[in-house]
Amino acid sequence: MLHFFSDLNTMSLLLAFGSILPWAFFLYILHPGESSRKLLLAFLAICMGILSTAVILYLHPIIWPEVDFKPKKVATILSQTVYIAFIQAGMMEETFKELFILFLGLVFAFNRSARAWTKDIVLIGGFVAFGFALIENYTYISKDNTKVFDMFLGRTMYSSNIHLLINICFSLFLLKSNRQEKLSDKLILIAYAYFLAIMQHGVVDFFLLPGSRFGGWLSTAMFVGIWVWVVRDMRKYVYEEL
Amino acid sequence: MQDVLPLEVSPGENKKNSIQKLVIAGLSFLCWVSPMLGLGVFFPLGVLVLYQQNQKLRIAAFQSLILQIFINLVFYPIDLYSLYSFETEAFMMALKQEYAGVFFLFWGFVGLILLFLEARFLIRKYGALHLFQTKSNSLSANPEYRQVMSETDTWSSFNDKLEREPIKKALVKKENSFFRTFVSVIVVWIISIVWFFCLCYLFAMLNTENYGYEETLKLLDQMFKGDSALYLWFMTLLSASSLLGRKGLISILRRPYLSLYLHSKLAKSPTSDFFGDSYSKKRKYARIRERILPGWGHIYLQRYWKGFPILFSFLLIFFFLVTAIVFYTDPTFGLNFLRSLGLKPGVHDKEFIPASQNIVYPVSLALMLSVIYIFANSLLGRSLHKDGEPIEERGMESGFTNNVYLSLLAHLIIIAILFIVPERLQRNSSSKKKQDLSKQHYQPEKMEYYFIDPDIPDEVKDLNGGVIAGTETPSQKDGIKIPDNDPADQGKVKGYVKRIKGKKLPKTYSNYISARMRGPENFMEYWKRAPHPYSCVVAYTITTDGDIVDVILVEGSSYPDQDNLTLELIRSMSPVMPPPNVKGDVRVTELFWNGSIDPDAMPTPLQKDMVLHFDGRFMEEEF
Repeated sequence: MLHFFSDLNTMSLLLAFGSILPWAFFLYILHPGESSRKLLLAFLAICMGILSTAVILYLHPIIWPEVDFKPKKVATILSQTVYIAFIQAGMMEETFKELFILFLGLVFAFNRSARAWTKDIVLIGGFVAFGFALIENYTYISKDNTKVFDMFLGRTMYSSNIHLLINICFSLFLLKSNRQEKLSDKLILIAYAYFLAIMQHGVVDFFLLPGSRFGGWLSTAMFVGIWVWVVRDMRKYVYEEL
Repeated sequence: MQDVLPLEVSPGENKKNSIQKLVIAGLSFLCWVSPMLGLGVFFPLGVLVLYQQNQKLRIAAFQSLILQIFINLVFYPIDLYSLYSFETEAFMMALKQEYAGVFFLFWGFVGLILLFLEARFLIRKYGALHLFQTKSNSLSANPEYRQVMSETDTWSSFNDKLEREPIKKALVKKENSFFRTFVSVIVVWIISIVWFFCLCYLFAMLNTENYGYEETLKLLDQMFKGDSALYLWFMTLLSASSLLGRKGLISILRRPYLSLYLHSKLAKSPTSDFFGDSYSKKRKYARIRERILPGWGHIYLQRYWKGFPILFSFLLIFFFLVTAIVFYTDPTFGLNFLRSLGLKPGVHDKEFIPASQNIVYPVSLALMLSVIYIFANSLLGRSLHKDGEPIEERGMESGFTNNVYLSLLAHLIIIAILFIVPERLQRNSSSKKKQDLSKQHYQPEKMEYYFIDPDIPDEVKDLNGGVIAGTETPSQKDGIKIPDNDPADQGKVKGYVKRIKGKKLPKTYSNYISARMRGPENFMEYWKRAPHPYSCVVAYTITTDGDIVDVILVEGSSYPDQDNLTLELIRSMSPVMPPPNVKGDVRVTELFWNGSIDPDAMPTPLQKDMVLHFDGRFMEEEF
């Protein structure tokens, strides 16, 4: 991670900021509440998102060490894609992002007396996703020296957005858990939300990874479907007046 | 009546705060550029579902959606015809090369006709054309109308008020002059053309590596042979047509948009009065939809848990049926069709292709499709009878017939992943290697290689040199001239391909490999991304099962990224049809280059030799 910061490329960093800025602006500005509190929460959440990337980068070689192993036969591409989409990307990334959302949410967006999550959990969820996407996008943009604009556009439209939507979806489930009376029911719903986040990440990645036109259609349809779902729930649970 | 329906921006929308306006403007922009961003029809569809009230946004989404559907209807038959065979592909390429200008001239005049139609509509509606003025002469310019606008907040209350207290249409004196109309239309048309070329140049430039002029022009040329330029043309035309004084929807789309609006308004409220007018209308609209596309009628009735599984099952089976028909017609057509979607058979070609020649598959899929169609239409009656149920309570229903589609869809997805998604399950190979041959490759100085098929007839020997990806040369001695400008589309090399000496693999297998390679080559834009000049040598093994293993880089270029792409290209071909008449695996040494067939131009002795082999490829059997 230290090595990562010592080799920072300013242009790539600016583009990475640009890739999350439009969505971050709208999430921040439309969220109800005091500006100073929103700003503090957004800042802390973005730091947590960056921290989650650092933790993943640190743990990745420990959990999945690089082994000099060359199979005689071609490894199964189907299971390899499933493994990358659902386990390496889906489970690993979502676990840490969701843990940081829960941690920050319990401190700042949980009403202890009412035992209920507040709307700020959505802001926290969104900005943790932005923190994660910032580092991820930076890594991809700085690696690609040829088609920087294409990469920037792709990261802005797809990557930042899908991280945002998955995490907001999780945060909305936390808000939905307020309606459950029993603690066990609340926990089951949160566990379901975590499982759903992995599945959403996995399925979108699974269809996107092989880079086929057909898979692209499916993942885009899913992506827009999640967006419609999230906006509808946001209207219901966060922007009640709309 | 049209004046009081939401074909223009509603009055309440003018009162929105700046952030909301920014959101709406951003979403409208995304609707228009959705095909360029890979979001296709899905994003405008999502907007139409989400934003029921904002007419400005809905109009942008609707126009983008219709435009994308129209462009696909124009281009997909052409694409499909190109995929049929190498001959049709070459024909369409030549046609595009020769007549791209004529094609765009045609659409340019279609645009001009559209502008005239729009002008005619605006003159009828508002009395005259007012170039560069959008409000002056429209209904909203009427002071009475503006007063109602200022008194109402929502579109429905505005409509209610207008129905109670009708306002006359724009009180303007009709002053129509043909010359004035003609000049206005021509001015707007010219503005559209200039704007269109500027946008095309911008898009092409953004897609180049160094934003250079030459490279941009080259990309611009390619753009004009595809659908993106046509989409941009109509996009600029639609936006420029607002300069004629129109605001809101283009006139030819007003009627379908109006129907969509009225139909969806009707669908939002539950109906329990089975003898009422609204129920009979709803039943009619739902049935029409269900007959056009099974599942759509259920979705219209807000029965999503029933509608979407039916719709997706129908579409997946329809896709299977089309695949079965194209494979039955011609396996090459089938492979090309799947390749165009970035797919390939998930099972070995040797199993898939013979099986695909069985008529049972297309027939049974057609039967299955018919059953789904009839069954989905019959289920609609049940949904209509329950239409009194509150919309928020319309979830999953119990019962076999209500949920059979969910189960069917789950099974179809698994079948699709196994058979057509470019991923596959590992199979165990019966052949075991005695030694690790992963580092071996053809070396010209050690010419003791084994010819795989020693019984190749003499006349076949000559054919080897002049055959590129399955096409025969006009003269076996002279070879065929591959154009310099687009080598990737007609094979891998350019210049004259001449016959070569010596016996090699039967031409059909080498041709087969070349043909198979074209799929990933095109899909990965391998030759488009390759620097010029580029050359490298790779070696790989094709097992008796058709798996491609032990892919190594024998001689790299000074472009490591492209070398890695070459290795990825080879790996992505697996599995292929097994080599014919061999007992062991086949080791292939292959040169990838984008220059002419000139040994002197090649940088190393191995490449000087390899360049003379058919398609730069040499195969030998491993022991």
